[in-house]
Amino acid sequence: MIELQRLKRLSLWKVSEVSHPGGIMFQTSSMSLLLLLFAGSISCVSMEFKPLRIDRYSQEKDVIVFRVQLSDPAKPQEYRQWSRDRIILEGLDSENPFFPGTLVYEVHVVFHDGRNRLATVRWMRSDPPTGVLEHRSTFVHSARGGFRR
Amino acid sequence: MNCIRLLLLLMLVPLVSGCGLFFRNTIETSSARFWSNSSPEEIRSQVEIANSIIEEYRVLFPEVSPEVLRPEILYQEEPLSRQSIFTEDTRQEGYYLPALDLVHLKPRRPRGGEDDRTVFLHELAHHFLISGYPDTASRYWLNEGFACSLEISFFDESGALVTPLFNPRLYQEARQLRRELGESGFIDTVQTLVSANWIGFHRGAEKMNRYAVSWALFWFLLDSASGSLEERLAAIVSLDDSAILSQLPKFSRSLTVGIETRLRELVSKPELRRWALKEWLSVPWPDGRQLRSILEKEVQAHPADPTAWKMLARLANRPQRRLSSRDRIALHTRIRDELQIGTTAVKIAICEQISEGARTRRYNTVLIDLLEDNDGEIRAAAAKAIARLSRKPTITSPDFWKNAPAEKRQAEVLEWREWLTD
Repeated sequence: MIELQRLKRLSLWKVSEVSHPGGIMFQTSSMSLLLLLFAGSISCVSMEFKPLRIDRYSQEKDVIVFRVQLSDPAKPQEYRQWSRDRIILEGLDSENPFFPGTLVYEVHVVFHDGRNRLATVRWMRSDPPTGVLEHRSTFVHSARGGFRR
Repeated sequence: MNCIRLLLLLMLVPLVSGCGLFFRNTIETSSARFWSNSSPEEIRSQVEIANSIIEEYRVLFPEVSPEVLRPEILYQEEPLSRQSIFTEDTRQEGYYLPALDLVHLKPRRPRGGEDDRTVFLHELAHHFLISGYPDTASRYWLNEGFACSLEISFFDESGALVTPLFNPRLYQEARQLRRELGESGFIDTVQTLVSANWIGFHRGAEKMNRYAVSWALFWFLLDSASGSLEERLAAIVSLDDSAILSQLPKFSRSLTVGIETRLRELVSKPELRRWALKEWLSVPWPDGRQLRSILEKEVQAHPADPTAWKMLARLANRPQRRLSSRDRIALHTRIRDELQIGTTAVKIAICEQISEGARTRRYNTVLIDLLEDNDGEIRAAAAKAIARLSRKPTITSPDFWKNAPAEKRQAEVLEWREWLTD
């Protein structure tokens, strides 16, 4: 329940962040309807970031993997943000739920929709290690894939 | 009328003010001018790569070099890339605008890697070709064929640019397309491609196929000509469309030669040997027996060279290679022995190549022994290798294996030894 509230709060926070790029606020009453529609559409996007299922396992003593099932793809930043929040929530910067006493070295978060991989986020402790896991990369996969020039 | 004036004014402002309106930083070098929102420190390696490529292209194309102006390079990192968030989509990574001598690079993958170099090589090749031969600007197949030939170039140990010109990935794609379309369908496609305008060439889902065929045609024509690269390029540029079309049946037949045969030819060239072997190892289902024979000679000739051992270990450990079980066992034994007697660099190189796909238990004992090596780097590499190879959870942190107290490491090694006896 606490976790659900937390996710909701994060979701709302993201809405406000996206709604006012560059700190511009829509304050006039004539814009209120537009703002409402805009915020509504954004919140729909964010509301989609509700994990249907979260699996967590220890691949190695110091490597923890999350497999997170979503109904739809999310925004690239949301994958990173969700995984950071999860690391904080579970205290993985300083605790290892599977092997107490062994510092977590890597966290992999694999987002999928039940069929395809949507994104992979990798957190790692730097060498020499610091107090927190650092974001190394977020790869957002595409069904089509590929790069061109 | 006022609206049109305003619109024109808005369009002129960026031209008059230059790129400074859009980019925070400018880096002037003798080879190019860079514009970027990233700080000079952040893109230092990209500037160095681009400068080196321009200088090497000037050596490679001395005749046209005086015609080639210093390019403007816009290096525009996406806000997401700056946060190490990379999207695997099909948007462009770069393009070239001949009228402005402008190369626009929009990296979408981790900064400073091999991919950055590839995009620089590709876009700057356009700049050199169109600057040297302005009439080629509207011959899109020639432009892309040339750029795709140079994009796989690399710098050797002395810093010189090595240009294999043979693009293994595009060769396989062109062969695949020929198989799918059949001889006559393939020739029809190439005919259309040679006379295609910008929209015909760049639009549609078949664009990547057009790149592959353009490169394959360019490479075929290049291979048929003689002289220096610049002389051969000049010969191709001078061919009109009818002269090219007359060679299409021969071009189509040239694609019947398998990728491994092509790479084997390149292995015989000393400057391309390592590159060709690396590419050969990436081919699906390579001829393991033939590769093993070549790689064994390579490690015999360079017994302390980590790269040579890395390639042999890759052959031993990669799945999907044509190798009999007897050869595979012999190869695993050879690698295992080297893990015991090799130099530090060789041991680490081999450990890095031990993958889940190795499917062997032959390395287990020696890797566990390496966890007790005096060298922390070897211990860390061995821990990663055995973690990939087995399902037993272990500690993979290099810091642990390099710096943890000996008794803590010993406890972990003890677990491994018990696992081994079980």
